[in-house]
Amino acid sequence: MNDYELLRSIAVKDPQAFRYIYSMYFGMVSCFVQKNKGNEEDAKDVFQDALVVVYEKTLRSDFSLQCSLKTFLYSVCRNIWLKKLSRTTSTAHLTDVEEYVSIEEENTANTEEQEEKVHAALQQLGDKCRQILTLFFYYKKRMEEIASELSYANADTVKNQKYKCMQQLKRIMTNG
Amino acid sequence: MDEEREILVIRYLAGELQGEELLRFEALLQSDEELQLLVKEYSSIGSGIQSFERKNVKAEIGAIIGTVSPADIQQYPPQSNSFFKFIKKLFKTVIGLGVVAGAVSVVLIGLNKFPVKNKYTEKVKQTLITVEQATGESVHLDTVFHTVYVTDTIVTTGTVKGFAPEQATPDTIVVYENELNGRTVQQAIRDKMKIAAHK
Repeated sequence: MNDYELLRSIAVKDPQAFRYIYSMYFGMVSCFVQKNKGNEEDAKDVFQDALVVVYEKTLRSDFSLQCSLKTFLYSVCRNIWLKKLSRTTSTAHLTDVEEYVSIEEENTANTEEQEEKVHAALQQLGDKCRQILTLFFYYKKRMEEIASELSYANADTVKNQKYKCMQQLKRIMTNG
Repeated sequence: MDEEREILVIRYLAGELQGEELLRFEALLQSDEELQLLVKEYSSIGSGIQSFERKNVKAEIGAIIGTVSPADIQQYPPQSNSFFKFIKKLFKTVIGLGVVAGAVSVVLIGLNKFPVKNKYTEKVKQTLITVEQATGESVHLDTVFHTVYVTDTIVTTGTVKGFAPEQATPDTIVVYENELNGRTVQQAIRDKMKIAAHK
């Protein structure tokens, strides 16, 4: 399986692709993390986070791989571990085991408290509403796609439903 | 109106606004504080929804990779294949033997013991056999100097490259090919020995 086939398989959450990437590259990430004040468990956590990042990148229509998947994955893991290290240590100088590239990161302006508030509200929201909102905000699906996936009459119905769901979510958040 | 604005904000955050519509929205956003707050609120909710689903996806991926056996995880740094390791070792051994053979050759050449075999040495060898038969003594051939040693007698069969006559000791009899004048090497040696004895 080449890198592009792997990315295509990751985009549809093919378990075989995730297992293949894990068996091929976890050793590398584990070596890197353990060389930089971490242990096997840290490496597993970093690897899972990195696979989520790779998966999310495949959801973006403007994403294209500019290096090998191995280098990309290593670079993502490096960023994640650097961020985790910088929370606990003042100087985070890394010992690298591979070449890496600069990865554009998506920043969230939310504090942990705000995130928790949204998460709690989402759990109280009905299944249909939660599905519409996650399909829209996380999976970046268009109204037509959501309509087809959730068996709504058309995109306008989804648009109205999404508005109502947002109102409901905001109400839950305000009422606590 | 509020609903329309909110839908516009959601579309803006999703990157769905383009061209004129986007320019109009951005111009409005700069001057409308209420709209700015709405964008901030929806951005925060959107980000919260993303991190909520991210957790689910992470758990899903964790469950998948949890089924991979540790034995299937490729070692890092990768261990080279045993066949290539064997070839590498063999190559190193051959190179090593080559270096040793080269060094031995240099030493042997230095000691004039390198076994060169050619038309000329074969001719000298024939002479040696004759001398051995005549004298009953052991004869040594130095192929580098193309010189025949008969105990303390040196016989040469031509112009000797690299041979210095001064190497000869007072007891040494040197016979050059051009001195033979139709005699055998054996006769020439005997004649020279006679002359030496008279001296």
